[in-house]
Amino acid sequence: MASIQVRLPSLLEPITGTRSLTVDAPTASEAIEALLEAQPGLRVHLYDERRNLRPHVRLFWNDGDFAWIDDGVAAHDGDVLTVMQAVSGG
Amino acid sequence: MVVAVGTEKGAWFFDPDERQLEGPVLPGWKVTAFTDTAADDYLLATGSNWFGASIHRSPDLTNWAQTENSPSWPEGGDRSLTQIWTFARNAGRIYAGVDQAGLFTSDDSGSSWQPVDGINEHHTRPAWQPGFGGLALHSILIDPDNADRIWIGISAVGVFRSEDGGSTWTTANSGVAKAAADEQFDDIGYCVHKIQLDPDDANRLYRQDHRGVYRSPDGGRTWESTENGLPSSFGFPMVMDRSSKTLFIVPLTSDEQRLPVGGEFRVYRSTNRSDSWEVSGTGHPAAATYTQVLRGAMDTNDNGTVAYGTTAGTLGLTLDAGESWETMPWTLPRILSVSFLPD
Repeated sequence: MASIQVRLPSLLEPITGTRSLTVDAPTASEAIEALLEAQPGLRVHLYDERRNLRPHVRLFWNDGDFAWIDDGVAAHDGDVLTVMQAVSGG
Repeated sequence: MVVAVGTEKGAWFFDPDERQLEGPVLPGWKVTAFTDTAADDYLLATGSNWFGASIHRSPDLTNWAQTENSPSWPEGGDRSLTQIWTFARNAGRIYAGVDQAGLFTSDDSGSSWQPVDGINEHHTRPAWQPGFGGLALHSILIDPDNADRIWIGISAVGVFRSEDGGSTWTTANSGVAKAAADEQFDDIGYCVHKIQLDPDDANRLYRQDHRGVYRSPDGGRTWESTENGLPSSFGFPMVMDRSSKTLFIVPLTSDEQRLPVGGEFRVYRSTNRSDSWEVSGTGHPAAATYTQVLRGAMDTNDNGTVAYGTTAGTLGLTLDAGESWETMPWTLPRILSVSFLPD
């Protein structure tokens, strides 16, 4: 079991009361489940009714998009799970 | 009473007498609807271009926390809940109207929500098509003398009426011009924008529609056009102040332009149950003003005070049922919802 740092965007702070928390999980995918268990109010904001990640939300595992890593990758102390919202400029 | 203002980027509150603005609450979130509850607290609905819709509760309009449950469609299904458009309260029951179109009720002040299958699974539903603003169930009316009589409005679909507390629903659009005909069902395809009940007779309804302004003498079974005095029949909000028995609307040039006619932003009113309409009093912007009021962004305390918020973030207020209007000094983000709440 590893200790994983979770970082959240400011828009979600009213839901969680914090932008930073720690969860314990053995793998990357289980870190997400641990986050949703610790903060169940996040689920509706991250996933749609088909349990798909909302289209303008991205999850990063350290420096890589979660979509491109193996869900079962082992977690290590100090790994970082980051929730990001897509922001466009102009 | 407090005026609650929901915008594209948070909520603000002000007392219409003291004119002190409080907020923002939930900055960055769309705030789309408000209600008070039988538990003497408040709910507001949030939305987001990223994070979906939910409900927050407050005991004091200052401290807010997301509720554990919100109206929702079943997981794994083909419907998405994209926005909570409106709340309506009748004693201990709260109704929520949502996009994709649906009606939900809560009998525990918003702690849990149940779908109203009679309308959500209506036999015409497979043919419902969204309007420009989505497939929104945005208007809910309840007969104050008979809670079993309910009307709802869905954009680009029409008005539905229930006489049995929501178990069964019939369409209520006869006499209204269609926005988009459906090949299978002749009684849908009406783009209602807002509906109101008469304060003295719940068989009389009023309607701002995409295709005109109407009233019904028979609970919504039939409708007649009532546009005498209006510069345009297109618009979104419609409010009935129950004390003065005055209707208020904000006409716009057309569905293509959606601008005040000639740049003259004016609230219109009818004091004779929609027989005729006139510019409502004094105090409208003197200079060209090309902004609009969305359907949820005008409300009344039912005692002569009416407030509206514009897409330019300005707020208008009358304390005398539309004899005179004032523009508030603040400029907020695009205003989506305005509601009077007890303080």
